[in-house]
Amino acid sequence: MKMKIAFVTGLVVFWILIGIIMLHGYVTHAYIDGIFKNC
Amino acid sequence: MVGYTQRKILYTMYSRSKKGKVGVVLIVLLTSIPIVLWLLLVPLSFRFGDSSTAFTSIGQLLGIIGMTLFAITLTLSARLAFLEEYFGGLDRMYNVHHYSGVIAFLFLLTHPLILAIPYFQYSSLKAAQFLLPSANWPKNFGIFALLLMMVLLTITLYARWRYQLLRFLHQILGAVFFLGALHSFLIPSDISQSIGLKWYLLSLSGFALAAYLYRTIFGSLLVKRYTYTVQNVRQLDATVTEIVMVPVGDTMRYSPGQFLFVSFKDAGIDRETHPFSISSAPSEKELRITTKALGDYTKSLKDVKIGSTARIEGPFGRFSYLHGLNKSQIWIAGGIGITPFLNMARNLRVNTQADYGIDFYYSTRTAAEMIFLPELKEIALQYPRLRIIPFSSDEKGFLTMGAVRTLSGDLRDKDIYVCGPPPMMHGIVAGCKQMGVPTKYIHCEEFKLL
Repeated sequence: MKMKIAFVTGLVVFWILIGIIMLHGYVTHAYIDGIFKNC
Repeated sequence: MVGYTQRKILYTMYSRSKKGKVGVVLIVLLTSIPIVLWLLLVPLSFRFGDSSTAFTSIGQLLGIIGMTLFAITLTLSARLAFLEEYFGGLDRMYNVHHYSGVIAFLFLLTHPLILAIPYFQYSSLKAAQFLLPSANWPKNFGIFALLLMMVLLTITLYARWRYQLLRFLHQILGAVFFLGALHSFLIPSDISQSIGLKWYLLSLSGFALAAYLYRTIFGSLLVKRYTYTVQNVRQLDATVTEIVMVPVGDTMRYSPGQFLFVSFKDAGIDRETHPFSISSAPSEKELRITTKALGDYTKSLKDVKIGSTARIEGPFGRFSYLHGLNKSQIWIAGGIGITPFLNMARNLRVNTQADYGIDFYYSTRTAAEMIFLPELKEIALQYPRLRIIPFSSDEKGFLTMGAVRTLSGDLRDKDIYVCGPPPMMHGIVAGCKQMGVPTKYIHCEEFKLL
Protein backbone atom coordinates (compact mmCIF):
# COMPACT_ATOMS: atom_id res chain seq x y z
CA MET A 1 0.00 0.00 0.00
CA LYS A 2 2.81 2.41 0.92
CA MET A 3 4.42 1.73 -2.43
CA LYS A 4 1.17 2.45 -4.25
CA ILE A 5 0.84 5.77 -2.42
CA ALA A 6 4.46 6.61 -3.29
CA PHE A 7 3.80 5.69 -6.93
CA VAL A 8 0.70 7.87 -7.24
CA THR A 9 2.26 10.78 -5.32
CA GLY A 10 5.34 10.66 -7.55
CA LEU A 11 3.22 10.57 -10.67
CA VAL A 12 0.95 13.43 -9.60
CA VAL A 13 3.85 15.66 -8.49
CA PHE A 14 5.68 14.88 -11.73
CA TRP A 15 2.78 15.92 -13.96
CA ILE A 16 2.04 19.05 -11.89
CA LEU A 17 5.67 20.14 -12.27
CA ILE A 18 5.72 19.28 -15.98
CA GLY A 19 2.47 21.22 -16.40
CA ILE A 20 3.90 24.26 -14.61
CA ILE A 21 7.12 24.17 -16.67
CA MET A 22 5.23 23.77 -19.96
CA LEU A 23 2.66 26.45 -19.16
CA HIS A 24 5.25 28.87 -17.87
CA GLY A 25 7.64 28.18 -20.74
CA TYR A 26 5.22 28.36 -23.60
CA VAL A 27 2.65 30.86 -22.28
CA THR A 28 5.29 33.31 -21.04
CA HIS A 29 7.21 32.95 -24.28
CA ALA A 30 4.09 33.57 -26.41
CA TYR A 31 3.22 36.56 -24.25
CA ILE A 32 6.69 38.09 -24.64
CA ASP A 33 6.61 37.37 -28.39
CA GLY A 34 3.27 39.15 -28.58
CA ILE A 35 4.65 42.23 -26.81
CA PHE A 36 7.61 42.42 -29.19
CA LYS A 37 5.39 41.96 -32.23
CA ASN A 38 3.20 44.85 -31.08
CA CYS A 39 6.21 47.14 -30.64
CA MET B 1 -1.24 -7.01 -7.76
CA VAL B 2 -4.84 -6.77 -8.80
CA GLY B 3 -7.04 -7.71 -5.91
CA TYR B 4 -7.29 -10.52 -3.46
CA THR B 5 -7.84 -13.72 -5.33
CA GLN B 6 -6.21 -17.00 -4.74
CA ARG B 7 -4.64 -17.08 -8.17
CA LYS B 8 -2.48 -14.11 -7.31
CA ILE B 9 -2.03 -14.59 -3.62
CA LEU B 10 -0.65 -17.58 -1.81
CA TYR B 11 0.07 -17.26 1.83
CA THR B 12 3.19 -19.06 2.69
CA MET B 13 5.74 -18.89 5.37
CA TYR B 14 9.44 -18.59 5.30
CA SER B 15 12.19 -18.81 7.80
CA ARG B 16 13.69 -15.37 8.27
CA SER B 17 17.20 -16.76 8.15
CA LYS B 18 20.25 -14.59 7.69
CA LYS B 19 20.71 -16.05 4.23
CA GLY B 20 17.24 -14.80 3.37
CA LYS B 21 18.43 -11.24 3.83
CA VAL B 22 21.53 -11.55 1.64
CA GLY B 23 19.49 -10.60 -1.43
CA VAL B 24 18.52 -7.19 -0.06
CA VAL B 25 22.11 -6.51 1.07
CA LEU B 26 23.29 -7.48 -2.41
CA ILE B 27 20.84 -5.05 -4.00
CA VAL B 28 22.10 -2.22 -1.79
CA LEU B 29 25.67 -3.16 -2.75
CA LEU B 30 24.90 -3.39 -6.49
CA THR B 31 23.22 0.03 -6.32
CA SER B 32 26.09 1.57 -4.35
CA ILE B 33 28.80 0.51 -6.82
CA PRO B 34 27.74 2.92 -9.62
CA ILE B 35 27.38 5.72 -7.06
CA VAL B 36 30.98 5.14 -5.90
CA LEU B 37 32.23 4.94 -9.50
CA TRP B 38 30.36 8.17 -10.28
CA LEU B 39 31.83 9.92 -7.24
CA LEU B 40 35.37 8.85 -8.20
CA LEU B 41 35.01 9.97 -11.82
CA VAL B 42 35.18 13.75 -11.35
CA PRO B 43 36.18 15.84 -8.29
CA LEU B 44 33.16 16.82 -6.23
CA SER B 45 34.25 20.46 -6.30
CA PHE B 46 33.68 20.36 -10.04
CA ARG B 47 30.36 18.50 -9.82
CA PHE B 48 28.94 20.87 -7.26
CA GLY B 49 30.94 23.99 -8.24
CA ASP B 50 27.83 26.03 -9.02
CA SER B 51 24.11 25.45 -8.84
CA SER B 52 23.76 24.65 -12.53
CA THR B 53 26.36 21.82 -12.56
CA ALA B 54 25.09 20.64 -9.18
CA PHE B 55 21.58 20.08 -10.54
CA THR B 56 22.96 18.40 -13.67
CA SER B 57 25.11 16.13 -11.49
CA ILE B 58 22.22 15.20 -9.20
CA GLY B 59 19.94 14.59 -12.20
CA GLN B 60 22.48 12.26 -13.81
CA LEU B 61 23.07 10.38 -10.57
CA LEU B 62 19.32 9.86 -10.14
CA GLY B 63 19.19 8.42 -13.66
CA ILE B 64 22.10 6.06 -12.95
CA ILE B 65 20.56 4.82 -9.69
CA GLY B 66 17.14 4.51 -11.35
CA MET B 67 18.47 2.39 -14.20
CA THR B 68 20.51 0.22 -11.81
CA LEU B 69 17.41 -0.49 -9.74
CA PHE B 70 15.34 -1.03 -12.91
CA ALA B 71 17.87 -3.67 -14.06
CA ILE B 72 17.68 -5.36 -10.65
CA THR B 73 13.87 -5.24 -10.71
CA LEU B 74 13.80 -6.87 -14.13
CA THR B 75 16.17 -9.61 -12.99
CA LEU B 76 14.03 -10.34 -9.92
CA SER B 77 10.93 -10.72 -12.08
CA ALA B 78 12.53 -13.59 -13.99
CA ARG B 79 11.72 -16.09 -11.21
CA LEU B 80 15.30 -17.39 -11.14
CA ALA B 81 15.26 -20.32 -8.74
CA PHE B 82 18.87 -19.91 -7.60
CA LEU B 83 18.13 -16.39 -6.30
CA GLU B 84 15.15 -17.50 -4.23
CA GLU B 85 17.07 -18.65 -1.17
CA TYR B 86 18.86 -15.29 -0.89
CA PHE B 87 15.51 -13.57 -0.41
CA GLY B 88 13.90 -16.16 1.87
CA GLY B 89 11.47 -17.40 -0.78
CA LEU B 90 9.98 -16.41 -4.09
CA ASP B 91 7.20 -14.37 -2.48
CA ARG B 92 9.73 -12.19 -0.67
CA MET B 93 11.70 -11.89 -3.88
CA TYR B 94 8.58 -10.57 -5.59
CA ASN B 95 7.99 -8.14 -2.73
CA VAL B 96 11.53 -6.80 -3.14
CA HIS B 97 10.83 -6.62 -6.89
CA HIS B 98 7.79 -4.40 -6.20
CA TYR B 99 9.71 -2.11 -3.86
CA SER B 100 12.78 -1.77 -6.07
CA GLY B 101 10.53 -1.18 -9.10
CA VAL B 102 8.66 1.69 -7.48
CA ILE B 103 11.87 3.23 -6.08
CA ALA B 104 13.47 2.96 -9.55
CA PHE B 105 10.40 4.60 -11.05
CA LEU B 106 10.52 7.51 -8.59
CA PHE B 107 14.24 8.08 -9.27
CA LEU B 108 13.64 7.99 -13.02
CA LEU B 109 10.71 10.44 -12.71
CA THR B 110 12.90 12.91 -10.84
CA HIS B 111 15.82 12.50 -13.26
CA PRO B 112 14.50 14.75 -16.13
CA LEU B 113 12.95 17.31 -13.77
CA ILE B 114 16.25 17.95 -11.99
CA LEU B 115 18.14 18.01 -15.30
CA ALA B 116 15.70 20.67 -16.59
CA ILE B 117 16.41 23.09 -13.72
CA PRO B 118 19.71 24.52 -15.12
CA TYR B 119 17.84 25.55 -18.29
CA PHE B 120 15.78 28.03 -16.29
CA GLN B 121 18.78 30.34 -16.13
CA TYR B 122 18.24 30.88 -19.86
CA SER B 123 14.43 30.80 -19.94
CA SER B 124 11.53 28.63 -18.86
CA LEU B 125 10.93 27.95 -22.56
CA LYS B 126 14.36 26.30 -22.79
CA ALA B 127 13.48 24.14 -19.79
CA ALA B 128 10.13 23.20 -21.37
CA GLN B 129 11.82 22.38 -24.68
CA PHE B 130 14.36 20.20 -22.89
CA LEU B 131 11.53 18.04 -21.58
CA LEU B 132 9.91 17.54 -24.98
CA PRO B 133 10.96 15.13 -27.77
CA SER B 134 13.30 16.63 -30.34
CA ALA B 135 15.74 15.54 -33.06
CA ASN B 136 17.95 14.13 -30.29
CA TRP B 137 17.02 10.44 -30.47
CA PRO B 138 19.01 9.19 -27.49
CA LYS B 139 17.08 11.71 -25.41
CA ASN B 140 13.80 10.67 -27.05
CA PHE B 141 14.45 7.03 -26.07
CA GLY B 142 14.54 8.16 -22.46
CA ILE B 143 11.34 10.23 -22.79
CA PHE B 144 9.42 7.41 -24.46
CA ALA B 145 10.72 4.86 -21.93
CA LEU B 146 9.52 7.00 -19.03
CA LEU B 147 6.11 7.66 -20.60
CA LEU B 148 5.60 3.97 -21.36
CA MET B 149 6.68 3.09 -17.85
CA MET B 150 4.08 5.46 -16.41
CA VAL B 151 1.27 4.07 -18.57
CA LEU B 152 2.12 0.39 -18.06
CA LEU B 153 2.66 0.64 -14.32
CA THR B 154 -0.54 2.62 -13.83
CA ILE B 155 -2.55 0.06 -15.80
CA THR B 156 -1.06 -2.96 -14.07
CA LEU B 157 -1.43 -1.44 -10.62
CA TYR B 158 -4.93 -0.04 -10.96
CA ALA B 159 -6.83 -1.48 -13.94
CA ARG B 160 -9.27 -4.29 -13.26
CA TRP B 161 -8.61 -6.08 -16.51
CA ARG B 162 -8.01 -9.74 -17.16
CA TYR B 163 -5.06 -10.96 -15.14
CA GLN B 164 -3.30 -12.48 -18.14
CA LEU B 165 -3.57 -9.19 -20.10
CA LEU B 166 -2.23 -7.23 -17.14
CA ARG B 167 0.64 -9.68 -16.83
CA PHE B 168 1.43 -9.26 -20.52
CA LEU B 169 1.42 -5.45 -20.20
CA HIS B 170 3.68 -5.69 -17.16
CA GLN B 171 6.06 -7.89 -19.12
CA ILE B 172 6.41 -5.18 -21.78
CA LEU B 173 8.38 -3.27 -19.16
CA GLY B 174 11.33 -5.37 -20.38
CA ALA B 175 11.14 -3.52 -23.70
CA VAL B 176 10.83 -0.24 -21.79
CA PHE B 177 14.04 -1.13 -19.96
CA PHE B 178 15.74 -1.72 -23.33
CA LEU B 179 14.69 1.79 -24.47
CA GLY B 180 15.93 3.25 -21.20
CA ALA B 181 19.24 1.40 -21.58
CA LEU B 182 19.64 2.79 -25.12
CA HIS B 183 19.10 6.27 -23.70
CA SER B 184 21.66 5.68 -20.93
CA PHE B 185 24.39 4.39 -23.18
CA LEU B 186 23.90 6.59 -26.25
CA ILE B 187 23.45 10.00 -24.64
CA PRO B 188 26.65 11.91 -23.76
CA SER B 189 26.98 11.57 -19.98
CA ASP B 190 29.17 10.22 -17.21
CA ILE B 191 28.33 6.70 -18.39
CA SER B 192 29.76 7.36 -21.84
CA GLN B 193 32.85 8.97 -20.31
CA SER B 194 33.69 6.37 -17.69
CA ILE B 195 34.80 2.93 -18.84
CA GLY B 196 34.15 1.44 -15.39
CA LEU B 197 30.65 2.89 -15.09
CA LYS B 198 29.80 1.98 -18.67
CA TRP B 199 30.91 -1.65 -18.34
CA TYR B 200 29.34 -2.06 -14.95
CA LEU B 201 25.96 -0.82 -16.15
CA LEU B 202 26.31 -2.73 -19.44
CA SER B 203 26.93 -5.96 -17.52
CA LEU B 204 24.01 -5.34 -15.18
CA SER B 205 21.69 -4.38 -18.06
CA GLY B 206 22.89 -7.35 -20.12
CA PHE B 207 22.17 -9.73 -17.25
CA ALA B 208 18.73 -8.17 -16.68
CA LEU B 209 17.84 -8.42 -20.37
CA ALA B 210 19.12 -12.01 -20.53
CA ALA B 211 16.96 -12.89 -17.50
CA TYR B 212 13.99 -11.17 -19.14
CA LEU B 213 14.51 -13.04 -22.43
CA TYR B 214 14.95 -16.33 -20.56
CA ARG B 215 11.65 -15.95 -18.72
CA THR B 216 9.39 -13.89 -20.96
CA ILE B 217 10.44 -14.44 -24.57
CA PHE B 218 12.00 -17.91 -24.57
CA GLY B 219 10.37 -19.25 -21.41
CA SER B 220 8.52 -22.01 -23.22
CA LEU B 221 11.84 -23.35 -24.56
CA LEU B 222 14.28 -22.65 -21.73
CA VAL B 223 12.38 -22.92 -18.47
CA LYS B 224 12.27 -26.43 -17.02
CA ARG B 225 8.69 -27.68 -16.71
CA TYR B 226 7.33 -31.07 -15.67
CA THR B 227 4.50 -32.77 -17.50
CA TYR B 228 1.74 -34.32 -15.41
CA THR B 229 -1.63 -35.84 -16.24
CA VAL B 230 -4.77 -34.95 -14.31
CA GLN B 231 -5.84 -38.18 -12.65
CA ASN B 232 -8.76 -36.90 -10.63
CA VAL B 233 -10.68 -33.71 -9.85
CA ARG B 234 -12.52 -33.81 -6.55
CA GLN B 235 -15.05 -31.27 -5.39
CA LEU B 236 -14.46 -31.25 -1.62
CA ASP B 237 -17.25 -28.79 -0.90
CA ALA B 238 -19.14 -26.05 -2.75
CA THR B 239 -15.99 -23.98 -3.33
CA VAL B 240 -12.96 -26.20 -2.65
CA THR B 241 -11.53 -28.39 -5.40
CA GLU B 242 -8.66 -30.85 -5.22
CA ILE B 243 -6.77 -31.71 -8.39
CA VAL B 244 -4.74 -34.92 -8.34
CA MET B 245 -1.97 -35.30 -10.91
CA VAL B 246 0.49 -38.06 -11.81
CA PRO B 247 3.82 -37.56 -13.59
CA VAL B 248 4.47 -38.31 -17.22
CA GLY B 249 8.24 -38.76 -17.28
CA ASP B 250 10.25 -36.85 -14.67
CA THR B 251 8.75 -36.44 -11.21
CA MET B 252 9.05 -33.09 -9.49
CA ARG B 253 10.67 -33.42 -6.07
CA TYR B 254 9.59 -30.97 -3.40
CA SER B 255 9.70 -30.21 0.31
CA PRO B 256 6.78 -29.74 2.72
CA GLY B 257 5.18 -26.34 2.25
CA GLN B 258 6.48 -25.55 -1.22
CA PHE B 259 4.37 -24.36 -4.13
CA LEU B 260 4.32 -24.65 -7.90
CA PHE B 261 3.14 -22.86 -11.01
CA VAL B 262 0.74 -24.83 -13.15
CA SER B 263 -1.05 -24.43 -16.47
CA PHE B 264 -3.55 -26.94 -17.85
CA LYS B 265 -3.67 -27.87 -21.52
CA ASP B 266 -6.77 -29.19 -23.27
CA ALA B 267 -8.50 -29.13 -19.91
CA GLY B 268 -11.52 -27.10 -20.96
CA ILE B 269 -10.27 -24.02 -19.07
CA ASP B 270 -7.84 -21.15 -19.75
CA ARG B 271 -4.21 -22.09 -20.23
CA GLU B 272 -3.05 -19.39 -17.84
CA THR B 273 -0.19 -20.15 -15.46
CA HIS B 274 -1.01 -19.78 -11.75
CA PRO B 275 0.72 -20.48 -8.45
CA PHE B 276 -0.71 -22.97 -5.95
CA SER B 277 0.52 -24.52 -2.75
CA ILE B 278 1.24 -28.24 -3.01
CA SER B 279 -1.12 -30.04 -0.65
CA SER B 280 0.22 -33.59 -1.06
CA ALA B 281 3.09 -34.85 1.07
CA PRO B 282 6.48 -35.23 -0.69
CA SER B 283 6.34 -39.00 -0.16
CA GLU B 284 3.08 -39.39 -2.12
CA LYS B 285 3.14 -40.64 -5.67
CA GLU B 286 0.44 -38.22 -6.73
CA LEU B 287 0.86 -34.47 -6.78
CA ARG B 288 -2.13 -32.61 -5.34
CA ILE B 289 -3.21 -29.00 -5.27
CA THR B 290 -6.23 -27.79 -3.33
CA THR B 291 -7.92 -24.62 -4.48
CA LYS B 292 -10.76 -22.42 -3.39
CA ALA B 293 -13.03 -20.69 -5.95
CA LEU B 294 -12.17 -17.07 -5.25
CA GLY B 295 -11.66 -15.71 -8.77
CA ASP B 296 -12.65 -16.52 -12.36
CA TYR B 297 -9.78 -18.93 -12.84
CA THR B 298 -10.11 -20.80 -9.56
CA LYS B 299 -13.86 -21.06 -10.13
CA SER B 300 -13.16 -22.81 -13.44
CA LEU B 301 -10.77 -25.37 -11.93
CA LYS B 302 -13.60 -27.70 -10.94
CA ASP B 303 -14.17 -28.17 -14.69
CA VAL B 304 -10.64 -29.38 -15.45
CA LYS B 305 -10.97 -32.54 -17.54
CA ILE B 306 -9.56 -35.78 -16.22
CA GLY B 307 -6.73 -36.93 -18.49
CA SER B 308 -5.73 -33.41 -19.50
CA THR B 309 -2.10 -32.30 -19.35
CA ALA B 310 -0.65 -30.12 -16.60
CA ARG B 311 2.60 -28.24 -17.23
CA ILE B 312 4.29 -27.62 -13.91
CA GLU B 313 7.15 -25.35 -12.94
CA GLY B 314 8.70 -25.56 -9.53
CA PRO B 315 8.98 -26.26 -6.75
CA PHE B 316 9.32 -22.82 -5.18
CA GLY B 317 9.33 -21.51 -1.64
CA ARG B 318 11.61 -21.90 1.35
CA PHE B 319 8.65 -22.64 3.54
CA SER B 320 8.79 -25.53 5.90
CA TYR B 321 8.35 -26.37 9.55
CA LEU B 322 11.70 -28.08 8.98
CA HIS B 323 13.32 -24.61 8.69
CA GLY B 324 11.88 -23.43 12.00
CA LEU B 325 14.32 -22.38 14.73
CA ASN B 326 12.32 -24.17 17.46
CA LYS B 327 10.91 -27.66 17.59
CA SER B 328 7.97 -26.25 19.51
CA GLN B 329 5.71 -24.60 16.96
CA ILE B 330 2.33 -22.97 16.47
CA TRP B 331 0.64 -23.35 13.10
CA ILE B 332 -2.25 -21.03 12.33
CA ALA B 333 -4.33 -21.62 9.20
CA GLY B 334 -7.18 -19.37 8.11
CA GLY B 335 -9.62 -20.74 5.53
CA ILE B 336 -7.91 -21.97 2.35
CA GLY B 337 -4.62 -20.89 3.95
CA ILE B 338 -4.61 -24.47 5.21
CA THR B 339 -3.14 -25.83 1.96
CA PRO B 340 0.58 -25.52 2.82
CA PHE B 341 -0.18 -26.96 6.28
CA LEU B 342 -1.90 -29.95 4.70
CA ASN B 343 1.35 -30.75 2.95
CA MET B 344 3.29 -30.43 6.21
CA ALA B 345 0.78 -32.35 8.33
CA ARG B 346 0.64 -35.15 5.76
CA ASN B 347 4.42 -35.24 5.86
CA LEU B 348 4.29 -35.80 9.64
CA ARG B 349 2.24 -38.94 9.06
CA VAL B 350 5.25 -40.61 7.45
CA ASN B 351 7.76 -39.05 9.88
CA THR B 352 6.22 -40.12 13.15
CA GLN B 353 9.65 -40.19 14.86
CA ALA B 354 10.11 -36.45 14.37
CA ASP B 355 10.35 -34.48 17.63
CA TYR B 356 8.33 -31.43 16.69
CA GLY B 357 5.61 -30.37 19.14
CA ILE B 358 2.93 -28.56 17.19
CA ASP B 359 -0.29 -26.78 18.15
CA PHE B 360 -2.24 -26.44 14.92
CA TYR B 361 -5.04 -23.84 14.94
CA TYR B 362 -7.43 -24.52 12.09
CA SER B 363 -9.55 -21.40 11.81
CA THR B 364 -12.57 -21.00 9.54
CA ARG B 365 -15.74 -18.94 9.64
CA THR B 366 -18.06 -21.86 10.31
CA ALA B 367 -17.42 -25.35 11.66
CA ALA B 368 -18.84 -26.81 8.43
CA GLU B 369 -15.97 -25.24 6.47
CA MET B 370 -13.39 -27.36 8.31
CA ILE B 371 -13.42 -29.99 5.62
CA PHE B 372 -9.92 -31.26 6.44
CA LEU B 373 -10.57 -31.65 10.16
CA PRO B 374 -11.27 -35.44 10.10
CA GLU B 375 -8.04 -36.10 8.20
CA LEU B 376 -6.03 -33.83 10.51
CA LYS B 377 -7.44 -35.61 13.57
CA GLU B 378 -6.46 -38.92 12.04
CA ILE B 379 -2.91 -37.64 11.47
CA ALA B 380 -2.82 -36.42 15.09
CA LEU B 381 -3.62 -39.97 16.23
CA GLN B 382 -0.57 -41.22 14.34
CA TYR B 383 1.60 -38.27 15.42
CA PRO B 384 0.48 -37.44 18.97
CA ARG B 385 2.72 -34.38 19.29
CA LEU B 386 0.43 -32.67 16.77
CA ARG B 387 -2.51 -31.06 18.58
CA ILE B 388 -5.37 -29.93 16.36
CA ILE B 389 -7.33 -26.94 17.66
CA PRO B 390 -10.38 -26.11 15.53
CA PHE B 391 -11.48 -22.50 15.78
CA SER B 392 -14.72 -21.28 14.25
CA SER B 393 -14.97 -17.49 14.19
CA ASP B 394 -18.78 -17.64 14.11
CA GLU B 395 -18.73 -19.41 17.46
CA LYS B 396 -15.64 -17.97 19.17
CA GLY B 397 -14.92 -14.71 17.33
CA PHE B 398 -11.76 -14.07 15.36
CA LEU B 399 -8.69 -15.98 16.44
CA THR B 400 -6.34 -13.73 18.41
CA MET B 401 -2.90 -14.30 19.85
CA GLY B 402 -4.47 -13.84 23.27
CA ALA B 403 -6.56 -16.94 22.64
CA VAL B 404 -3.52 -18.78 21.31
CA ARG B 405 -1.49 -17.92 24.42
CA THR B 406 -4.30 -19.11 26.68
CA LEU B 407 -4.31 -22.50 24.98
CA SER B 408 -0.63 -22.92 24.11
CA GLY B 409 1.17 -21.05 26.92
CA ASP B 410 4.17 -18.76 26.55
CA LEU B 411 4.84 -18.06 22.87
CA ARG B 412 8.25 -16.44 23.05
CA ASP B 413 10.17 -19.67 22.48
CA LYS B 414 7.99 -21.03 19.68
CA ASP B 415 8.09 -20.64 15.93
CA ILE B 416 4.75 -19.28 14.75
CA TYR B 417 3.55 -19.98 11.24
CA VAL B 418 0.56 -18.14 9.81
CA CYS B 419 -1.22 -18.62 6.53
CA GLY B 420 -4.60 -17.01 5.81
CA PRO B 421 -6.39 -13.85 4.70
CA PRO B 422 -4.30 -10.64 5.01
CA PRO B 423 -6.35 -9.05 7.86
CA MET B 424 -5.97 -12.21 9.92
CA MET B 425 -2.24 -12.44 9.26
CA HIS B 426 -1.70 -8.79 10.11
CA GLY B 427 -3.65 -9.24 13.35
CA ILE B 428 -1.69 -12.34 14.30
CA VAL B 429 1.68 -10.74 13.53
CA ALA B 430 0.77 -7.60 15.50
CA GLY B 431 -0.35 -9.81 18.42
CA CYS B 432 2.90 -11.80 18.30
CA LYS B 433 4.99 -8.63 18.41
CA GLN B 434 2.97 -7.27 21.33
CA MET B 435 3.70 -10.47 23.23
CA GLY B 436 7.41 -10.15 22.61
CA VAL B 437 7.74 -13.02 20.12
CA PRO B 438 11.04 -12.42 18.29
CA THR B 439 10.49 -11.48 14.63
CA LYS B 440 12.72 -14.34 13.51
CA TYR B 441 10.17 -16.79 14.97
CA ILE B 442 7.22 -15.31 13.06
CA HIS B 443 6.64 -16.77 9.63
CA CYS B 444 3.99 -15.33 7.40
CA GLU B 445 4.00 -13.92 3.98
CA GLU B 446 1.81 -12.75 1.18
CA PHE B 447 2.43 -13.86 -2.32
CA LYS B 448 1.79 -11.31 -5.04
CA LEU B 449 2.29 -11.59 -8.73
CA LEU B 450 2.63 -8.73 -11.22
